[in-house]
This record gives sequence, C-alpha cells and structure tokens, in this order.
Amino acid sequence: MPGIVELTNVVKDYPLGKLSVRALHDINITIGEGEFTAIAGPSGSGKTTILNMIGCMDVPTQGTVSIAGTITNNLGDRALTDLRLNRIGFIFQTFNLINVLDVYQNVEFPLLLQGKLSGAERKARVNAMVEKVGLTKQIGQRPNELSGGQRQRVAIARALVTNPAIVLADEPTANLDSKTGHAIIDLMSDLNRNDKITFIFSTHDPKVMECATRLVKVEDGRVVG
Amino acid sequence: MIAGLMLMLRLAIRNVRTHMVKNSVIGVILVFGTFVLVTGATLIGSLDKVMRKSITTSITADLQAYDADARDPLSLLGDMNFGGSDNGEIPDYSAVQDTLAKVPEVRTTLPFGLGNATVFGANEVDRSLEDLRAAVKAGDQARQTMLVGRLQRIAGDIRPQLDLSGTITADQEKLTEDRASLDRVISADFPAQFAADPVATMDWMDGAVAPLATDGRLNYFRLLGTDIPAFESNFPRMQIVHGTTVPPGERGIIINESSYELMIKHPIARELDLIEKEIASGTEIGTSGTLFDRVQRMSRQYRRVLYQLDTEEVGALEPKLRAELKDDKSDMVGLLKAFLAVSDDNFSERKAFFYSDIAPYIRLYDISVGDTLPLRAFTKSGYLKSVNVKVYGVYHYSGVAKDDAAAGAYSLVDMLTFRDIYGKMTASQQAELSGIKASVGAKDLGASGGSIEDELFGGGGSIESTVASTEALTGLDSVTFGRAEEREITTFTQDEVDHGVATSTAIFLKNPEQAEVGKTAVEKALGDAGLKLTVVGWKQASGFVGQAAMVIQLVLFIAVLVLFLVAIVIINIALVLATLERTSEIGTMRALGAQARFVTWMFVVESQFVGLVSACIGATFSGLFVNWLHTVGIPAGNDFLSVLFGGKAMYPEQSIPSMILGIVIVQVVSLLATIYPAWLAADVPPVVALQGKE
Ligand SMILES: Nc1ncnc2c1ncn2[C@@H]1O[C@H](COP(=O)(O)OP(=O)(O)OP(=O)(O)O)[C@@H](O)[C@H]1O
Ligand SMILES: [Mg+2]
Repeated sequence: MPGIVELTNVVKDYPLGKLSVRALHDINITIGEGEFTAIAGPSGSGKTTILNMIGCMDVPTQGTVSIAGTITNNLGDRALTDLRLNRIGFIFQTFNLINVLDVYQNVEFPLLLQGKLSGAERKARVNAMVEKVGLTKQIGQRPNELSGGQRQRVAIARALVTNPAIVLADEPTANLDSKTGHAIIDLMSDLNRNDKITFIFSTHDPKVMECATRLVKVEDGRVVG
Repeated sequence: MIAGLMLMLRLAIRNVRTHMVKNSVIGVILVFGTFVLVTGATLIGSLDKVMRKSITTSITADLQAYDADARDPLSLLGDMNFGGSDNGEIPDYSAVQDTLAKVPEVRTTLPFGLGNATVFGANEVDRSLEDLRAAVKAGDQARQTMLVGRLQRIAGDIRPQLDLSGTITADQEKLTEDRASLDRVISADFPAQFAADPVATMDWMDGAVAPLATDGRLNYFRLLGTDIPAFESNFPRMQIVHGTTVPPGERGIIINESSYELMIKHPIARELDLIEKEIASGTEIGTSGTLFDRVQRMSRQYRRVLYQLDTEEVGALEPKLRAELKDDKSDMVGLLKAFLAVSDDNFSERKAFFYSDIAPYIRLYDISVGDTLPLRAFTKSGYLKSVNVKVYGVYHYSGVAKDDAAAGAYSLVDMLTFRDIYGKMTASQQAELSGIKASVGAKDLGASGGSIEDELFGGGGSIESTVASTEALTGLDSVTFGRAEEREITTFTQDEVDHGVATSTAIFLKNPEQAEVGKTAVEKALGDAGLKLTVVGWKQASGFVGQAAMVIQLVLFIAVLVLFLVAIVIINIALVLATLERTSEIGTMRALGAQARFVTWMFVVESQFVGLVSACIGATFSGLFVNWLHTVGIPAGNDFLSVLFGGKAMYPEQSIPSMILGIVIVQVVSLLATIYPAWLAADVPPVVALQGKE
C-alpha cells in the first residue's frame, strides 16, 4: 500500500545571493495513513523544509513529492493552494491565529474558504470541533485573551475542521511550557488514535519524540534513521 | 462566494476596528477630501446655475451666433479688448431670423449690434454760453446780465490757473493771447461790450475762452443696438429706472445705470457716493492714505460746483454753508473747499447736506432723460460719424448694484442708430445709393471709394466725415450735445429693424436647460442654410466673465486633484505599512488555503469599506454645510461676484449627483491607493507562516 506522503530523492536548494544552499540532500520518506510521525533533529537540520514540501507550500528542486496520490512538483500556486485547503491541516509553532477573529471564527475560517458547507453544517462542525479541543467556554474570545495552550488548541481545531488527509505541525510545543506542551501532544495523540488522523510533526524535544509511533531523524538535510 | 465576501467584510470590519489609528488617519483624509469635493462640486454646480440664469437673462440669451470668420471671439461681458473686438458681421439679420424661426428648439431671436461711441460733455463756459444764447434769443435781459456775471466769475477763477500753467508751457505767444482774452472778460466794461454786440461776443468767447475751461468730460458709451421692445420682453431682469423705454419704431437710447452713475453723474456727487461705499466697506478717511487723498482731490474740485452757481444761488447757499460749517469769515471758494474736505466724523452729514442743499442748484447728471445726444463713433470704413439720438431712459438689471461697472455696461440703441454708427446702410438707403450711382455713373463714384456712402448718409457735422484718426477726435473742438445740430428723428418699421447688418444674433431656446441640444439644432439649420456663423453658449458668449467661471472651476478641480493625489500617496503608504505588519497573518491565510486573489480582494474590500464610510461621513458633512449656506447665503462681497451670483448673495442648492459623484470618486481614489499594497500582499508566500514570530 503506497504511503499518503511519499518523498522520493528530494533535494531542496535555497538561493543565497549568487550561490545556493542545499537544505535537503536526497531525502526519501514514506508515511502511511494514520501514522503519528515525529520528524526530529537539531536546529537547522531541515525539519521545517521537509514540512514545507509535505505541506505543499514549496516544491522540491529535485525528486518528487506525492501527497495523497498527487505529485506536487509541477503544480502552480493555485493548485498547491487548493491542495493545502482541502488535504492538509496546519499547526504552527507560533499558533498563527487571526487576531481580529474570535475562536469560533478562527476555526470557521478554512470552511469559509472552502465554501462547501451550508451555514448550519458549518456551525455544527465548528462547534463540535471547538468542543473536542475543550474550548466551548472560550468560543467568543479573541486569541489575545487566551493562554498559549488554549491558542494551540484553537489551531488544532482549525487544522482538523476540514477533515484533512494529513495534519502538519511544526514544533507545536516549542512555544509552550513542558506541561502544556505535553497536554497538546496528548490531545494530538488522542485524535490520532480515536479519529485515525495522520499527524506529522517536527520537534527537537526528546520527550515529545517518545509519543510518536514513527520517528524520522534528520541531520544536515539527510535522513539518519 | 457570498460566504467569502461576508468573510472579507467581517475581516475588514474587524481590521478597521483593530487598527483604529491607521484607519482614522486614512478616514480623516478621505472625509476631508469628500467634503471638499462634494462641497466644491455642489457650489460650482450652483454657481453655474445662478450664473447661467443671471447672464442668459441679462445679456447673452441661451445662445449667440456670430460671424464664423470673426477676428475676435464674441465677449459680451468683460471684453478683453475693451470694446475694440472685431466680431465680424452678419450682413443680413433677417436671413438668420428666418432660418432659425423654423428650428423647433428655438423660441425667438434678436439682432445684436455692438458698437462704441463718445459724447463730449460740456464745460461750464460752454454751458453758460449756451444758456446765454437762449436768453439773447428770448430777449431776457435780467438773465443775460446774470449769465454774463457768471462767465466773468468763471474767467476770474481761470486767470490765476493760467498764470500757474504759464511757468511750464512753452508756447508763450498763445499764453499771452489767452491772458488777454480772460482779462477782457474780467474787465469791468465787458458787460457793456457784450450788450453792444451779443452774438459776435459770444462767437468770440466760443473760440477764445471756452477752450480754456478744461472740465468738459469725454463720455464713453458701449452701445448695444437691438430691437429694444423685444429686448425688454426677452430679458426680464432688465428694468427701466428713469424715463421710459424707446417706443417701437422710434430712434433712441436707454442708458445703462452704471454708466449713468459712474460717467454722467456730477463728479462731486459721484465721488461722495464712492467715498461712502469705501467707508461702508470699513475704510476710514483718517487712517487710509488713499481715501484721504481722494477727499483732498475732491475738495480741490470745488469749481465743479462753483461754476454752476448763479449769483442768486450763491446768495442762497452761502448762509446755509456758513451755518453748517460755523464759519463767518471765508468767501464762497473757501467755504466750498472746507465743506468738501470731509472727515469720518462729518461725512454722512455733509453728504446729506450736499444732496439736500447743493444738488438742487447744480446739474446732478450731465445728461438727462429727454436730451438729445450727439453720439460720435468711427464707422467700419474709418470715418467719424455723429448721430443724434434721444435719451429715453435709464435701465439696470435687477439684483445688480446700480453703480456696478462689471455688469457689461451697455447702453441700448435701436438697430437703425446702430447701423448708422456701424456705417452700413439700410436696404432702402442702398437702393437710393444705387439709384444715384446709376444716374451719376458708377465709374466716377468708384474713384472716390467708400467715402461716398458717408458723404451721402453721414448726417451730423460736415467736419467729421473727413477725420480718420483717434488723435484727430480728441483734437476736435468740442461740440456740445445741447448745441448739436438737431437731426430729424426718423421712425422706422419692424422690417427695417430686421433687414440689415448685425454683429450677432441672440437666440432664446424653448428649453434653456437643453442648451447643447439647441445648439446642435441651430448649428445644423444655419449650416444647411449656408450661413457661416459660430454658435456659442453663454459661457463663451459672455467672454471674460464666463471664462472667469471656468477658471474658478479649474482651480477647484486642481485643488481637489492635488488633495486626492496626496490622499492616494498617504493611504498607499499606510496600507503598505499595514501589509508589512500583517505579513505573518497573510502568510497564515495563504498556508491555510486562501488563494492570492482572496488576499487581494480582502485588501480591496477593506479599503473600499473605509472609503465608503469616510465618503458617506464627508458627504453628510458637506450636505449639512451646504444646507447651512443655503439658509445664510454666500455674500457676493464685491461687484464682480454679484454679477456672477446675479445678486447680493448666492444660495447654493443641495445636489445629490454631486454627492454620488463625490462618493464614487473617493471609492476610485481608495481603489487606486490599494493597488500596490494589495499586489504586495498577494505576493506574500505561505511559508512565512512557518517562519516563527507572531
Ligand atoms: N528560505 C530560506 N532561504 C535560505 N536558506 C534557508 C531557507 N529556509 C531554510 N534555509 C536553510 O535551510 C536549512 C534548513 O532549515 P530549516 O528551517 O528547515 O531547519 P530546521 O530543522 O527547521 O531548524 P529549526 O529547528 O531551527 O527550525 C538551514 O541551513 C537554513 O538556514
Ligand atoms: Mg524549523
């Protein structure tokens, strides 16, 4: 059975003035549906770059990236954006909620972009999602009225509300204290186990790595185990 | 789609509320811009409307048609060439009249003929001699004695002035002669000399003494020849203030009130009126150097009163002046000088005294209703021509100040008088001429060129028809109107009015609001009839005044343009800064699946929202302001504006189209200001969302 994410001989160069910096050297990763994968490695090893490729925010310089059967290499901005909207959920290190919108509206945002659901369906979906992350009480609050952990829960709800094939999280606990960070990882882990959601997250925290069902170690742009 | 728009609107409102300071700055600029734009457009619209009403109902009519080959454009109000414009000619007005009578848009037409004429005002020696001739004719001995006495007093007064000018003149021979002439009049046995041969003495004085009194004024008239009865009924703002209109079929002139007040009124009375106007506008004689000088000059002109007084009148006035001035030492000259040296404290009292006690003894106006004026003008062929015309009345335009010089001070004459001055003949005169030509033999007459017409029909004095330059005009012996050769007042028919030369045709439309439609129809009809005429609307026809209105519009337009350019720059900078601030948010949206065009639209909706709210606030303020102006009125302030306003104040009308225009323009402005920042925002890559920093 082919993986939901397949990186084959992926090379990524970043231009740096007249030269270019090779961030990834010949990466091969396959991740199956329902896995709870941690991408681990020291700072600058290429974790974020890998997530960018998987998240369809960038395309590789060489090699192929396939997401849920779609090869991204030759896709334009519009098609990549559509893929992100419909297939992928994002959780960021810095939460990245839209400050002017409240909890409900932040979670609703991707659904509005999709424009697929009716108002009633949307409302039901958003409320269920907010309840799942335990923020029903805070549903009308703005991000700046929430704690870091609460904000990341909102981000998780927002990432899951569209029923994506994959949820990506770039160092989701880096900005949280270890207790809150663990609670977030536990929540993700529960969602993976109960709802069979595929999670791929990066981290350099050994305790967080332990929770993963699959561990991909990177160093200097290479997979090391 | 709707959901997306709602989302953008929600984001916009949230963003506006969150970034209150930035949006307030933009908002204030746009509110101010809208206010200026809407108010400006409303005021210009109102001004255009009042001006059109004021000008089309006073002078231009809805359209004017004139010679397409004219050297100068028609400018009925405020001629840049000061009456010297050449607007070409319409050889036969009736052709235009008949053509336009068939155009359904046209209500009626009027012939216009522009011209200039001068009238020599009499000096006091002339006037006294004239009276004296009448007294001699009537055999009124007492009056003769009184008038000879007056002439002696005038000569006595001129004598020292002559000595004064003797020091600067080069012609000593003439000076000696002039002194001798005056001495003869002053001498004690002059009344006896006069009694011995009154007619010869008067003839001698005409030549030797009258030219020495220099106060005769040259009055300059701008004439508008037209069908006067029709003019009166078609220009409702015109009102007769003294006398009557010129009856149909009669020759005559009705003088414009501003000419009457500024040129024909007694100079001292006019000065008093003008000083009063200055004082009313807040100037003080005590503090304003120019006004003080003016008073001094007026005081030195006491002779203008003195010369008009008889011995009896001096006797009656002297005690009153003494009482008024509390002065029992000075003679009449001293009293008048002192009386005219007015100050801020006594001005209104003196002015009232002048009008109640002095004015009855003097001629308050040089020309009165009923007088016959010898109008002198240069014909098209360059000959000086004199045409006598009876003064029927004085008119003004309602709503315009009576001594307002800016109101296009035309005096109205009948078409036949205009044509005499213009130098063109009526059809019957032409027929008569060709008859003469035929009998004499055209060849001989052809040799003497154009002058034949003037010799045959020149009327007036024989001296004039050979004079062909302006210098010669001023050098002429002054012929006063009172003594001008009486010319038989001829009557004429409507047919004669309509057939003949005109300089333009005034066209009234059935629907003045549809001037452009009317203009097109008139142009077509004239073109089809083979008449090569230029048709212009009131703005062009009024010349300087209409152009001034266009200048006002242009200035406002440029001001608004500059304001909006500044607004675009500021809004642009503010939005670019906002974009940079929001890079992470935009990146997040892009990462979450928002298309680049969503980001663009988000910016557009946001700035249009701010623009719309600001524009509505600005338009509302403008509406309130215009409403207030409508109740209090915008005072004209000066003569020029009162002509434009057609009255002392303008009451602007609310204009919904101006408001809509203002709001639309502000939307366009905010859209233009958004283009660059929106493009910048759409270019933010989704990866920035992952690059830390919230
Ligand atoms: N946009 C870019 N332009 C140039 N070089 C880049 C860019 N993004 C990443 N790099 C380089 O690529 C390499 C991998 O970076 P990346 O951000 O993927 O590492 P990381 O493992 O996520 O590090 P960290 O733990 O600090 O987040 C680094 O050397 C980095 O400097
Ligand atoms: Mg990273």
